[in-house]
Amino acid sequence: MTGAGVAVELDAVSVVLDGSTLLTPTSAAVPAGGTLVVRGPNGSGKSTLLRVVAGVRAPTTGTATVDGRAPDPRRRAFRQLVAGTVESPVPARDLTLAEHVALVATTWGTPVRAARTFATELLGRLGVAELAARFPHELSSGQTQLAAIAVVLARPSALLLLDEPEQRLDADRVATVAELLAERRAAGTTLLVATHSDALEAALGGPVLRLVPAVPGAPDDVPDNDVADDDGPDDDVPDASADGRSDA
Amino acid sequence: MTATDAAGVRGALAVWAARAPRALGDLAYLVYIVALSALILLGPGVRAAWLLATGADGRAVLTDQSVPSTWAAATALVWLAALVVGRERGPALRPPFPAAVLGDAGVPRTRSFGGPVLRATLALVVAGALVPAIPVAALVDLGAATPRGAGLVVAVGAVAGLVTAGGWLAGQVIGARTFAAAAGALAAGAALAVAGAWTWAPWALVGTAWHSAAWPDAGAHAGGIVAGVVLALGMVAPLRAGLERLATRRIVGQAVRAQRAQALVDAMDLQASGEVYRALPSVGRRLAAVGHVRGPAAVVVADVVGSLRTPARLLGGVVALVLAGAVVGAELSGTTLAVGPVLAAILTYAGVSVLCDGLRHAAALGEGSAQYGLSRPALRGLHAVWPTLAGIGLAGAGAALAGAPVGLATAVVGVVVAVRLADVLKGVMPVEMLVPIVTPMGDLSAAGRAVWLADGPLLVLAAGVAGGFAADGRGGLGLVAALVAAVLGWRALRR
Repeated sequence: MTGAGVAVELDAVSVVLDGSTLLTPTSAAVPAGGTLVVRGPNGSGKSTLLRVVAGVRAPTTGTATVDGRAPDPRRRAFRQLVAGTVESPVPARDLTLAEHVALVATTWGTPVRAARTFATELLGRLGVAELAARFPHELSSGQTQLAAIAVVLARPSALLLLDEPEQRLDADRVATVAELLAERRAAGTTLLVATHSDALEAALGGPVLRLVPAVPGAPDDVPDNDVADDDGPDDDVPDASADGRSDA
Repeated sequence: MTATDAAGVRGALAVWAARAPRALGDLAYLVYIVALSALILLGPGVRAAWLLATGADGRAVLTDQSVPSTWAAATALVWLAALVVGRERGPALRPPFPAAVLGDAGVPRTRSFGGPVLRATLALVVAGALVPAIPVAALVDLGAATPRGAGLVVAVGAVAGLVTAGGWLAGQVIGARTFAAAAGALAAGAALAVAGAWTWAPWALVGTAWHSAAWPDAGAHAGGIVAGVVLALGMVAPLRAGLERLATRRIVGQAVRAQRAQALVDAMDLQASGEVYRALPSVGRRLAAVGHVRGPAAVVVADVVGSLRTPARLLGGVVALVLAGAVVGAELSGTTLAVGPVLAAILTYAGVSVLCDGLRHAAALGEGSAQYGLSRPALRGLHAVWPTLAGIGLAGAGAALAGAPVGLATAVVGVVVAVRLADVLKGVMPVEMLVPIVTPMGDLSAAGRAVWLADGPLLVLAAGVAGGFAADGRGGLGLVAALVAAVLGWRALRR
């Protein structure tokens, strides 16, 4: 369920929508198989950044590349590389949770028997084995979040984009998700994770990109967002400049 | 019920109404629109129906021996439909907030929700009287019935409307077992009426009156009328008690769904509006939907098993599709007018919808979605396999069982299945359609939107009518099929 990772590069990417700044200029680089944790308060542009990398939002300025090319979900090759929760997985109302995972895995080439086994194991790892036979409308909000993560992890990907995967999860589940993500990274997948969770940030242990929200009426020369050394919980992890990028 | 109760409800509704007072101009415009629509749409429709009914073919149809039993079957089906609709959207309905406030208040339900119920009842009584009024008036015009007999038909039509309102409220207030029993009785009654056993049951009241009007010398069958009137009177007290016991949660749930569906209709997203009321699965989870076959065929198997998980809905769809095939060769009683293909088209359009959930899921995936390892056209094509094969197969089987022309059934049903697939892939209305089209007659963009909204039903009717031509050895079905194929192909690949 993994693939060789791909590199992501953001060069002074910003998004302005109808005069409203969704993302101030941001630069970062993630090597193939690396991790970038994106943090910042609500409205700082974390989701927008992930959407730019996913190719569903065009940057107003700057450039974004995935594996050296502009993100374009209309390209089949790009869709094969990138998975995530930038846009929530669409559930099928009449399939159980285990069948969702197995069906997705099957369509990506996993043999049927192996896909069913994989589904059972993955749901077990996420601590929701007892939900395997539930339909989507029978899940709580936290369980729905876990289901979305399970569906995303059911397919191979070279780049995983996760938007606040810790939402509505208890601390144990956050740790489990972090563990699964670390395994995917160890197998070569690049991770780009937006989060509010200190625990997830610490568990993933990657460089941290801290975003600041745009201030209406602020001068244009505000510093760009980029991967920073700060005194947060990521002090002991290398920042993106270690990858040879520094775009302040 | 006390004066305080009444004042409390009135006060709550006054506060609710005051949040968005309707200007006199808005009210005048509403009256203008209703009057204009009635003149432009209803007037010519009623006139055309009258001319048809009083023509030579009309006489043959209206005086056919099968008309009373047809009335009985239709009445049973209308009551069944009212009962079913009441499960999801009953007449005791207000907007969600006042529904919650009044539902939790210590006020009798008949006071807090009696208004909407009475208005619905009045509307259905009037409709019940009007529906048989034109055909029975035509019967009088043709000299085949007396005004006194026609008056009786109209009067019992009003009683049938009253029972329809009662059935609608019953659907909202009764429990699941009673509902199943009542629905089963009405479905069986409709089937028996088609088979000729109709004179004794409450749903025979209009048919009985029609029989007395058209054949006054043949002896009266008063049983149906008496049973219908007794039912209408006898259901008042239990329904009143049922309304009092109706849970606030149920009222509010229905109110929320109704508001959501209405908002989607206002936004011209009929597909999403239908989704609000679509049954959710609750059984069959032990039946594996994935794991039987490998590769893309797994998608088809998942669709089949998924359909089995809403069995009542599936049963309704299967019955509709089998009936579609069975009726395709039907002609209007007393004439050689081929109405079977039109009926088959309508039944297919309704029946195949329940098999399209997989395609709906595929259509809901975003343009760039990579949830499945299949291209978008391939995924959509695979999800179309089950409704196409099952739709055509079931209708073909129905035609074979009924001795109807299988080839015609397959052709008509095939085209209508394609219309339904195109409907599912339709998506939201393109914003370009909101651009005004200025002409000397006014803004014509509304006509484009109306056609866009109704293209599915219009194509279904076209397929049915063309099927009728094909039954008479004339062309046209191929043209409709080509048009539908073009629409479906464009939506499957582009949207």
